[in-house]
Amino acid sequence: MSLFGCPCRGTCKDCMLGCANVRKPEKNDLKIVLAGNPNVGKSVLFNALSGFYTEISNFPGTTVDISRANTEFGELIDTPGAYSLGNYSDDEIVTREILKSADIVVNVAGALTLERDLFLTQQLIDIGFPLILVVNQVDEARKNGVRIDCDLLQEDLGIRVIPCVATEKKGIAELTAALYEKDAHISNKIIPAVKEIRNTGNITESLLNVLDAEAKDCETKDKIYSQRKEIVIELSKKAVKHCGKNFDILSIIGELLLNPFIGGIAALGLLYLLFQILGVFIAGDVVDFIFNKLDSVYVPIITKIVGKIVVFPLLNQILAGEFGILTMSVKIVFGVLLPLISAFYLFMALLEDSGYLPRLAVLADNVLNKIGLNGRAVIPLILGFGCGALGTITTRILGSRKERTIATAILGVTIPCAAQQGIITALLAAIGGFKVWLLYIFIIFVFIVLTGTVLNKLLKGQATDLLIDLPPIRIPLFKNIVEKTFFRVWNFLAEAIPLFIISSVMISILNFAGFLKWLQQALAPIVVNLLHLPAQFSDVFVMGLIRRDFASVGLLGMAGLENSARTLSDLQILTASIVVTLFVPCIAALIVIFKERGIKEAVILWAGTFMISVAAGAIVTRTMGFLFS
Amino acid sequence: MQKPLSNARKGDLCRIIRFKDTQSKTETMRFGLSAGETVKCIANVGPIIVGKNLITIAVGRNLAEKIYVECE
Ligand SMILES: Nc1nc2c(ncn2[C@@H]2O[C@H](COP(=O)(O)OP(=O)(O)OP(=O)(O)O)[C@@H](O)[C@H]2O)c(=O)[nH]1
Ligand SMILES: [Mg+2]
Repeated sequence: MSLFGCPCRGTCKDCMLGCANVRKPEKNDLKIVLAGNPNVGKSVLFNALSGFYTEISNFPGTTVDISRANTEFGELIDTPGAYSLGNYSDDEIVTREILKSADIVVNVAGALTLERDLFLTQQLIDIGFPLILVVNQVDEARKNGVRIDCDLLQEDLGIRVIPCVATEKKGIAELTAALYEKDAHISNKIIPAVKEIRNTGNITESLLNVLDAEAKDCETKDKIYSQRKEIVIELSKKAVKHCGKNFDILSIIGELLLNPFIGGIAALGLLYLLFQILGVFIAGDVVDFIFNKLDSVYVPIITKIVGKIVVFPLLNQILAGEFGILTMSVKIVFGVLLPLISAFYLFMALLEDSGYLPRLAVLADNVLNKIGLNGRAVIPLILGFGCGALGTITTRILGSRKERTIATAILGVTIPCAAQQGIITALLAAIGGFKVWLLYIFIIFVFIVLTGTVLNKLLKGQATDLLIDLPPIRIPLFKNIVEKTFFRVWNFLAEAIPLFIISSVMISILNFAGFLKWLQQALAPIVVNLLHLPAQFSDVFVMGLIRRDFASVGLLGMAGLENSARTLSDLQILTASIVVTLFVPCIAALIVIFKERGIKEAVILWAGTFMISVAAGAIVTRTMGFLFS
Repeated sequence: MQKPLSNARKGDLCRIIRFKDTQSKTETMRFGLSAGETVKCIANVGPIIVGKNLITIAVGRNLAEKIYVECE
């Protein structure tokens, strides 16, 4: 595990819990790559075949990086979904790169969307991969009156075809057996246009040849695509039988959510629900209970024990002082963050698995178009409310460099992560309820629009057009919800605890050395004069450099929610919440921004957010006083 | 009569006739839509949502303007 946990949230080899095996693949291990259209169930299949865990959600673009696992039949690799292997978006490029070294490709297609998915199958055939085709989600197809003739597919495609219901582990045994026997074949049913260019000896070369031909000019690409499409339409006419659709309540809900009015009300309703759960129930009742127990029972005991054993004053302070590891850190992580984070992630998991997000993308498209994005950007932005690092990686699904930069900036500047959300919701619930929280959301929204508008003007290029697959509304699978929430919470703790310890130590030392007092004076012009906050607030800045949620934690104490004396007024709490929200990205997010977007953008973004946060706070404190008078 | 998909109304059955340029043609093709096929307009709320059998796709307004259809 790396120091900061793993921003990939369980998808790469550095992760906790051995969610991907660290054993080096042996030389003669086959590379088996799962490839297919987005949202067809590749990751479910990966988990079922390997016993490892990668995230699964009901929207296209869940997986944006590869996951590897070692199995008895070779090294298994999960890839981001792709509609075809040209240069389209960064996640599709990831898939293309890993396919270069594939020995066997397991092409996963959705039974509901087979007519479309076979297009990629044909491309894989044209390139000449040893192929196995999995037709997944046949349970849903059957429910919708669709029958698929897999024997006919097998014959016509010239490769092994296996029907599956990955979520119920049906068909997994057949697939495992096929992999053991290396029952993957190179089909000769290729389209005429690529016959001469494909290289039978070398897959990598063949892949490049075919893709080069497609990229050469629009006419050639059109010719190749049209020939492919023709074969696919022909084949699916024979192999897919529609026998009338049953009445289905979920598909009606799916359609209703596309209505702007109903969709808008649904979005507001969800916000209200989130507020009730996080701000009222978890923050009010659950946190209060746990926190008080820790404060009244645990802290006195641990302070006494440490006092007996450790006499050296600095060390004593580090362990059990005001900012001590065993006192403050434990109280905050287990008493405050853990309950808030768990509830928030659970809520997110339900949202992600229902199929609501792509529909929200449709409704948000008009607004996002105005700031240089398209509706698809809703997905990384919403995921960013869970964790900025995850959101930033997911900007890979966006179509152009400009869109990725804008979305990354919005994530870095404005979007508060789960831990921060939780704490701020708790604070705002205490000073003014849903109304003040809505105002807070509105201010964030304004900054999203501002950031987007400015960058849209500054950067060249246009937003790409929205084109997104709307998956069926699904009832979230209990197992998946629990698993996802657990892994995310676990990853959060793995990331937060070491950082918390480091910053506790650092702050204790700084405090001991009198640096915090000095800094309070140095920052007084900004903190006191500009933001109208107590000088002590500069401590929050220091904590916020490391993680934004720590900054929020600093606020908790000053707001009197930590059984301490309250030193902030209502207006000051709102101001401070805004400043902390807009404050610089945390270290983990910054690393991802640096990796994905380069050092220049990372530095500009970091400095920019600092200034924006202070400016926003200065405005809020001067204009919002009427709310609390 | 031919018109851009962006003008389709909810409930229309639209037959795709042609595309304005090859770029929009190949881009939509990999999402499963090509000339000659008939799609149902499920909603027109800025983006146009079209359905074909069990596939549902949202097409942004700009792109929809480049797709010519005949509706009934
Ligand atoms: N009913 C049913 N649902 C399935 C089946 N397989 C997967 N799903 C659902 O399909 C959705 C997508 O699954 P994922 O495994 O995340 O799909 P993916 O192909 O990895 O998607 P990307 O990572 O976005 O490319 C989830 O909601 C799954 O629960 C299946 O066999 N039957
Ligand atoms: Mg996946």
